[in-house]
Amino acid sequence: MSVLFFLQLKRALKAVPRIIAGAIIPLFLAGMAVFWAQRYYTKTTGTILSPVALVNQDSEAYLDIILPMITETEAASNFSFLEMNETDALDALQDGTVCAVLVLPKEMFSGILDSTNIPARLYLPGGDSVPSLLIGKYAQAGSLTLGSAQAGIYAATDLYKAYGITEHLSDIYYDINTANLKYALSRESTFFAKSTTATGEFSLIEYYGCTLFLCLLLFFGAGMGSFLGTPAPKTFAEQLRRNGMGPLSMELSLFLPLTLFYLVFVFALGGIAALLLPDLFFSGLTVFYLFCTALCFSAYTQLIFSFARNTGQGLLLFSFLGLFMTLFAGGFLPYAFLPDFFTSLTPVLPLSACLAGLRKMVGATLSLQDILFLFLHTVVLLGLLITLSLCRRKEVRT
Amino acid sequence: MLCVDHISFSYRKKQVLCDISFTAKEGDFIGIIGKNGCGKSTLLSVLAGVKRPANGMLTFHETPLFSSKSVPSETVGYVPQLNPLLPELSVRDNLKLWYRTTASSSVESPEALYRQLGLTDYFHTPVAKLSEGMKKRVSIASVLQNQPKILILDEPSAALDLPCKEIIHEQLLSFTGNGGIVIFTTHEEAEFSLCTTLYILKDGILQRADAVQDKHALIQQF
Repeated sequence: MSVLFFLQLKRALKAVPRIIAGAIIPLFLAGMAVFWAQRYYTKTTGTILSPVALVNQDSEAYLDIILPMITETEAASNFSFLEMNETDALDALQDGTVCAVLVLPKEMFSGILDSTNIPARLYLPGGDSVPSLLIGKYAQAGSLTLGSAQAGIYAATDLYKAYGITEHLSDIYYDINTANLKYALSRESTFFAKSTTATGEFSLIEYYGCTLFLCLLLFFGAGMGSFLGTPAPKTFAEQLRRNGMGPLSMELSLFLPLTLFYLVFVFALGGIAALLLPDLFFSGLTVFYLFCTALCFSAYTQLIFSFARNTGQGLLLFSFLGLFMTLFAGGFLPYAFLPDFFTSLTPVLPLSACLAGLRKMVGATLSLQDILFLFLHTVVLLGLLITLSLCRRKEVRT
Repeated sequence: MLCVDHISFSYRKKQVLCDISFTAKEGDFIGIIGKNGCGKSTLLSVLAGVKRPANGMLTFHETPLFSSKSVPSETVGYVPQLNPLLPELSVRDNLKLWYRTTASSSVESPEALYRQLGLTDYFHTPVAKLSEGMKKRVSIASVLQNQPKILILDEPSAALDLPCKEIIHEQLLSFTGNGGIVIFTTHEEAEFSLCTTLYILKDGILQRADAVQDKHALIQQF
């Protein structure tokens, strides 16, 4: 067994040039695809204009001045506001013709002035769509702006009272209010600089860095296909069996060098990631997670190539399933752009779970539960591999 | 003495080998001929322990063969039609893979065997770069290095050139000369003369071939 293991390792080492070529060529093709997708994406995002229904139940005089101030701010430039009644607006939200409904209740603006504070209501559809994310953040910014405007109004009123200028206060009340709101709204960009992206709390580099990590492992596995997918002659397996080494020993002799290669590759990539992302902290959990990632990929690669029986079929299946699972984990397009069921499928797909864990690792929220979950996926994959081997043995004997 | 006793084998419902029995003593060179697809390779697989017969028994010196999971390579050596070699690895690595240290500890070093088969100059050459003849020699060496008592070969000289056939024939005759038993399948007329006994496999039944020298009479028996 040990001789077979070392010879398989030697065989794998001889396949290294093909493994590297197998990793670089798809990487180049993927790079081209990302480049064109990026060009397309940046060209189209500027033209997104999401409709928002505005239900105005307030009839105060301020509104004619304030509403244009709100709708013409830079943050609101991605939305087109359509005034309608509440029933029509909610129907439109249901139909998907508007991405949100903003209801300004009766006496809302006078409530800001006399501190009764009747809140505006914002209706958003379920899910993580980009317009919902944007308008959610916009509403947050709006409430902060109104809050600061309200503070300004009260401060000015108090100052007038403190200096005994109460005589003409009721006359200039209107001017104080509009001036405060005007300055608060126009200074929004000065104090609210947080940008909203579909990748959530991750920067684009961190988010797509995790995807690249996964894709590199996939490409590496595709390269390993030249080693795994070139099966030894059937007679080789027969001779091994005659010598007391069954299909399980044969699989193990392939699995060990494959895992060794993956471990080297995963930790090399982890090292590069640590250099590029200074916040990435290598704890015991992180190292254990990377170890499990190598094991999971090793089991997945061998299962696919063992199932496919030849290199061509194996590569096709391996790439298709790998990219499919990356897509389901929001690897190419963030969840904000994907249907909701993608999120629910992520935990049950091994590579998707792996990518989700990688993101948690980068975001320093990785837990032992995530590691055990990935380990469970590995055990299932290994179980399938063993079952497949045993079925093959049965086939041969029949 | 090798005793093959009422062996039968079938692929699902198709009976391929039917109640096959024969014996072979030390020094015997047994040839098996028959039409393409008649079951010669299946018979050798059963004799080599790759396939388990549905019925029957194989004994060597009255000890049942293949009673355990593994086949003792110091008793039965098997050279299949397709070489069981890893093409990326060198000749030495492939020989090392099939070399059983337990068997060889009590026998002479296989270096002499490698020299006789002309392999020493190719030790570091990957098997993928060898000719078919050389590959066959490596396959035979990988089996003979463990000094088996019985050698089973499936068309060992198919598609080989004359000098290569000659080297293999010499090696096989030397093996039987030292008390080994050779059982092989062939389509080569020239190899009939090597055999002490020639069998024809027809419709799953093995029968001794008569009139080996008369080609037309032999064809009639197919």
